[in-house]
Amino acid sequence: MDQATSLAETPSGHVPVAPNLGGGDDVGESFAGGSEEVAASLPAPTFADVYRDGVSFVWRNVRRLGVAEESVRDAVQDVFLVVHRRLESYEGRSSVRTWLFGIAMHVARDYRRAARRKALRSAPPPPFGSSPDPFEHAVAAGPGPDKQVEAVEANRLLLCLLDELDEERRAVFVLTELEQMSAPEVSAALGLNLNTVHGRLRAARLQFEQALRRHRAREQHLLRRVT
Amino acid sequence: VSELSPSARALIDAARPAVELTSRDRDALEVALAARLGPAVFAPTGAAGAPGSAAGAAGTKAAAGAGTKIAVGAVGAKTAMGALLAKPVAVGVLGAVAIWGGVQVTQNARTHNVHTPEASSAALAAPGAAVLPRALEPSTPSFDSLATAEALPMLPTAEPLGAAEPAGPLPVALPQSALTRPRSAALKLQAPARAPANVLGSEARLLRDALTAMQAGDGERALLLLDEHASRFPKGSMRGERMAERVLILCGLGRADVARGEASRFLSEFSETALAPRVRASCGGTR
Repeated sequence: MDQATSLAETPSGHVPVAPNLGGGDDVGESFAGGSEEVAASLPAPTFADVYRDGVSFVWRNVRRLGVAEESVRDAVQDVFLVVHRRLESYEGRSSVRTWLFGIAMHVARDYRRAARRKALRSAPPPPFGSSPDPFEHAVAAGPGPDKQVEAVEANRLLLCLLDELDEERRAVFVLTELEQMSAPEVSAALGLNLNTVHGRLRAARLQFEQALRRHRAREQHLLRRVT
Repeated sequence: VSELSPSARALIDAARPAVELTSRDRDALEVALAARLGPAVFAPTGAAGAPGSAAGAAGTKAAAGAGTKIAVGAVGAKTAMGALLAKPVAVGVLGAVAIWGGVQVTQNARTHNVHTPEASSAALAAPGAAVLPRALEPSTPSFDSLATAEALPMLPTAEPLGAAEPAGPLPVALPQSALTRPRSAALKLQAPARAPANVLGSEARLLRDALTAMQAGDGERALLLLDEHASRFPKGSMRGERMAERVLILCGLGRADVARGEASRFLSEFSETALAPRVRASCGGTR
């Protein structure tokens, strides 16, 4: 089988809601035997299990939850320190992923607060839209020859747009649109009822689309200026 | 609920490859976590679908509690390839602890031939580095034989080991430049973890570099690097790994006679460790 292909993917469909040892999309990090059998034979995952199954997931999402790039490693480390401390209390009621996401949200919140405090202590943040425009870079760089460069640019823009969502909507948006979790899963991960999940998702999409349109307009403007 | 626009969807899809955890970051993360929690937290658990997983899990918990043992971990074994890929980059303790996993990988690579996106991105990040498959399924039988929970505990990190350092080849100081190549990604550890991780990191780098040299066909340089490790860390945490690595390198150089002496020295002290089976199976082993 082509493991490289499957590795690159986040789940293409909805991950089952049933308690298990994670969504299992991280082939190569998940359990070799297929998660169902393993879930049956392994009632209590160890730290190594959770780490292997979840490290990529946490890594991706800590950044998406607003932790600055230079702090991602520390934040991910903190998530797993919490995992280590609280492993006993994890009873497999939710999937490992939803449990990890809850921890990641708390950690990310702390990091964002710390970053804000630090920013306040040093220099006032530049007013939005002033130079350097976070979006300008993506335009100036243009489409790279390389898929990876392209991805980095797209991600930079994506993170800027996510920054415009408030925290609650952002979490719902990330889990639904980026991790492709189902609404029931998101509700389990965030401890929300389904209606709230749908409501926040709708609002988040709207906000995200608006931010994207603003960016595209600015992009057009910049391009006209360049040419 | 309305769906996202195609344009928004395209952006999200395009960004996806950029958020993958690279092997470099993973190595550094594991070093940091191992420094905080003890390397044994990454010990194999049998969770790879192998039978006896419950015993494995229990063993891991016990080892994690002890906190001062170095384990050859499944995670580390996977990391070893990452370490090799990102050559000029800081290498994880676990990557080097699992050098043997790395050796294993190079052997298994031909049959497994697994190529991961992480490997690709690491190769992108470090142009010129050899592109080697990174993944080693933790369930690989030969790996399990190295990394069973019973093989733990392996090397106490806290106390110096009693026996004197085997004489081995004469320690030769390498030119400093050869040993302190610039490493673009310095490990960023939290304060309490800094000291031990740095020492472990230095040990790990030397052993990893030796392995890399060996794989590049420069066995003599590999031995010099091991000597460097021996002179800098005579009673280091990775002393057992060094001795075992020496055996394998000597075998690679066709010096079975010397290897046998080294192997018996290693086995007299570390016969119960995870590395012992490999040493026994090598040209230095007395089977």
